[in-house]
Amino acid sequence: MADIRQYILPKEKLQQAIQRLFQLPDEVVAPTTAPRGDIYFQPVNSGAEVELDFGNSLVSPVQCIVPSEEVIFEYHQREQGPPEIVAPPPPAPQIILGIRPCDVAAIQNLDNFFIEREPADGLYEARRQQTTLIALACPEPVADTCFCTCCEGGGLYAREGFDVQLSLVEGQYLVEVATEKGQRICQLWDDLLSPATQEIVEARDAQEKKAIYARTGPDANLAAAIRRITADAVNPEIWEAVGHDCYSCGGCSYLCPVCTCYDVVDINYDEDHGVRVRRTDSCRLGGFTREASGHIPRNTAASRARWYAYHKLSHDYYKQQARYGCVGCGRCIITCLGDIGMPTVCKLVRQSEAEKVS
Amino acid sequence: MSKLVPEVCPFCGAGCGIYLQHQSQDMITLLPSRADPISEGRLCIRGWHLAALVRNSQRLCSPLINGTAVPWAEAVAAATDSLRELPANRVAILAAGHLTNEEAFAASYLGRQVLGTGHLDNFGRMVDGPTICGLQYSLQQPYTRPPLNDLINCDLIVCLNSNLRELNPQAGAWVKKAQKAGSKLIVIDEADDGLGADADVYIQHAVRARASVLEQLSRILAGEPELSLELAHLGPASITEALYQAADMINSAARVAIVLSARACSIPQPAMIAGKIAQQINTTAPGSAQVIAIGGTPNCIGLIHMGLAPRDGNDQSPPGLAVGEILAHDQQDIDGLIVIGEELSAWLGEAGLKALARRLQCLIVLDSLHTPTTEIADIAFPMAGFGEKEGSFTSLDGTLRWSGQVVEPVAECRYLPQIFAEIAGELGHQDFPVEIDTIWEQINQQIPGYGDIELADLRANRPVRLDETTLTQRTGPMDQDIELPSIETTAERPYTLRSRYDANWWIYDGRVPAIPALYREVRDLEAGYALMNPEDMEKERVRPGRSAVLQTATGGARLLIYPLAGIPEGIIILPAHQLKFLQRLLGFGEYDKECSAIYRAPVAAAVKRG
Ligand code: SF4
Ligand code: SF4
Ligand code: SF4
Repeated sequence: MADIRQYILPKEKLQQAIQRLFQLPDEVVAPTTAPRGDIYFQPVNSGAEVELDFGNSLVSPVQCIVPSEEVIFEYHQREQGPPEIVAPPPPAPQIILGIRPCDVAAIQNLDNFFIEREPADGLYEARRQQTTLIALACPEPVADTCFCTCCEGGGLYAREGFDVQLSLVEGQYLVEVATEKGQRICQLWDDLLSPATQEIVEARDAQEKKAIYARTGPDANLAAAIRRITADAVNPEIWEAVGHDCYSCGGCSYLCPVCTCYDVVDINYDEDHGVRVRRTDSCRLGGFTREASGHIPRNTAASRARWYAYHKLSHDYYKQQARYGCVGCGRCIITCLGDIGMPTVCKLVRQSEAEKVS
Repeated sequence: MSKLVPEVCPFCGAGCGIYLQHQSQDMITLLPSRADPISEGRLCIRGWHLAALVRNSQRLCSPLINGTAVPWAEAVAAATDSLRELPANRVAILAAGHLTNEEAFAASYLGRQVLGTGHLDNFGRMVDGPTICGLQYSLQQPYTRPPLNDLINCDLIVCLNSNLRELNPQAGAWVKKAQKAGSKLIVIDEADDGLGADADVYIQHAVRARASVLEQLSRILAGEPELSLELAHLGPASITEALYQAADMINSAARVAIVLSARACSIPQPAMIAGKIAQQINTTAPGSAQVIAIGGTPNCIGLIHMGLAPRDGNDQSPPGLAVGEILAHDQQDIDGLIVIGEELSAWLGEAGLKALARRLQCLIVLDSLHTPTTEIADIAFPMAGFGEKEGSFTSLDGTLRWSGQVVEPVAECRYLPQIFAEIAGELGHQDFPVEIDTIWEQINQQIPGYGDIELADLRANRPVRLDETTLTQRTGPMDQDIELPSIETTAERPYTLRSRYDANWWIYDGRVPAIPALYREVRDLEAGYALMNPEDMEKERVRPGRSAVLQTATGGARLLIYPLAGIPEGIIILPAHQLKFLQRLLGFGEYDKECSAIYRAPVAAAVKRG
């Protein structure tokens, strides 16, 4: 945390600060209200459209960096020779305003997967470089489905991974600037900020502790589940139970900000031209492991549920990425038709331990 | 990037809300909606893949004549030439159950106003018709179901489909939510396809005896004499005990929901009896019971309202042919068929589709996808698909829900009313309604129940309800069918062979000896079986489980014969899942237009041993 600079922004100046973001050439993406009343991260044109009093959006803002569907290239068949390949235009700069700490943590997972592991993914890297994250810390868990605080490394405010972070503490915003990209934002706000005091920083920590102590949301106790899974000491019957409840809809991984699987398909309306796109895929779908022969190794919802958990909750994952495959955002709880989000799975894993011991 | 456009999933009658967003090029993204009261952010696998439905390589991109791409003008000219040649009463229009009300209105307008035919119907009725009709029959009024999320307010759910989670996944999720909130669950089904394991009471009955079991439950609730177990063959003897337990639970519940999925009911009886049970409960405790039927298609009822159903003679035109009649292998009344958005080989098989195409002088198909039907069509038009048009669905809960347009139609695809307007224009009708506003002006004026609906409210996603008091009640042949005509048996054919339709609702498909092994044997060996009174069997010297030849006017078949003491003398029962034998012995049956279900009247039959 050494090179994070800390300032104070009076609460009543926030709107002004947001409005100034529009002076930059960047597109501002922020939580905003959709026609039915849902909140999603969408491009906005003015501060008035921004809704910062929200829980979290059901669709993670990481989709501004890894969209659920994106063009890899366009191809045109020529009379002779190989087809002409047209790359998509380079991504424009964007500011994601209001991203929650869990999603900031998820982006660190994604950075590891798409950039830090060779070879880097060009599409992701280009968009990531053009993205500035202005995180909005949670004074307390903002939804009854949040459990970031019992995912190791998570917390109500981000310790790293953001460019700027805003934490509402005792009626004013603690503004943290962690990067050069953040510095650029900070310059816009120069006259609105004053240096942070030690008290406000300590008050934020105290506020977090208090909120964690008082929280009533789901308990995942991820660490215990991970220990159990890493030791492969899980009663296999629990996967049958999870498989029974699972509809194989794929929702949990489509909405998971940490999941990275994608499929590549061509969309073409005639033989001569088309686009190659990648789309998010899900290991919960029946056909995910279909082989060329037609054989499907993981052909039951139970075996796929096991795979999903073993991937997300294994220590091996940690060894590779130095992170777990869940940041506790709770989206899988909301979207699951079978009511078996991550905390439920963790609980079953932990209980299966108890059974074995007894 | 476009704005977020609210949409309703068109894949089933649950009606989950989503948003689509156009990113760039052919990229459409889908966002589940947590604020949508039905889906609350959950979707099934079909819903999750809706964006891929808008842009994919299967899209039909240009008009086709005999499978070859042609310019629009050529296709329009070919279609109008063919239609001009045909007498109006030999042309029919069949539409898929996912058309919007606006498209359906245009299709109905083309049929009735431009072409002058009354042979209009929709495939939604094949799926949902029997259930809607069955409920309407027992409730004696148009059926309106409570919204799905009302399940949470019930303290007892009686579900008739253990595979509800497959048929209407969102309904499965609501059942689970209700259970979590304390509701009890009774599942009644012939085999457990998932939900039975979650039930407080799972009542497994004999194969295809659902209506009989419901009838038994109804009698228990009413304190009427029970069905004889042997005659009804509900299943294991313990089933009566389980039904008594269910009746106790029903009697002590403050709010009961009977849940059924229309996709699993190809006949009206289960819905009829479910409706009857709800009425019974409501007689003692008004308003405490409801039937929640979930459609297999999103807009069956809207299409019926818009006129895409054969009218039962209460308007000036004579009733038209219904979907089952138009597609019947032996129909000879239709020479020109316009099919909108439906893949016919799914109903007819590939050979059936080919035979249909041969039988017709002209097959015109409108679709947004390339299908075997567009391939075989004389003329095919590429139609704007999901997300490429705006329009409304009428949900079974009596509300109208709007789906917006997120992108322009791909390639040469056009909005359905626009395609029909071009054809109508060539046929001399210049004022065909194309714009949504014009269509709604006419819907407001012409369609009962839709008079007060404001297009602006629909477009703004404000809640919009039908005026149910002005909906016409549809009653029909079912009333008469309760009493079957008596059969003239002859010396040559002294027996009456019956299938599922009988003087009692419950006798439709049950009465199969409750031996799963027998069912399997029949299914696997493709053998058939029938049931007779033991004394009749003795008289005919047929031994139990041995085969005999049954002969009727339409044909003969060798079947295994089993004794069933409750069957009156002179009656032979051919359990109704044996389609092949039903067709051979009882003919293709009578098609109940209103329900879109098939009934086979009893016939005289002879039994020969060996
Ligand atoms: S597993 Fe669930 S709670 Fe964890 S990050 Fe993914 S969606 Fe969020
Ligand atoms: S969201 Fe739930 S039902 Fe859907 S695939 Fe994931 S675990 Fe299964
Ligand atoms: S349950 Fe029905 S309406 Fe909902 S997403 Fe699935 S198919 Fe669509």
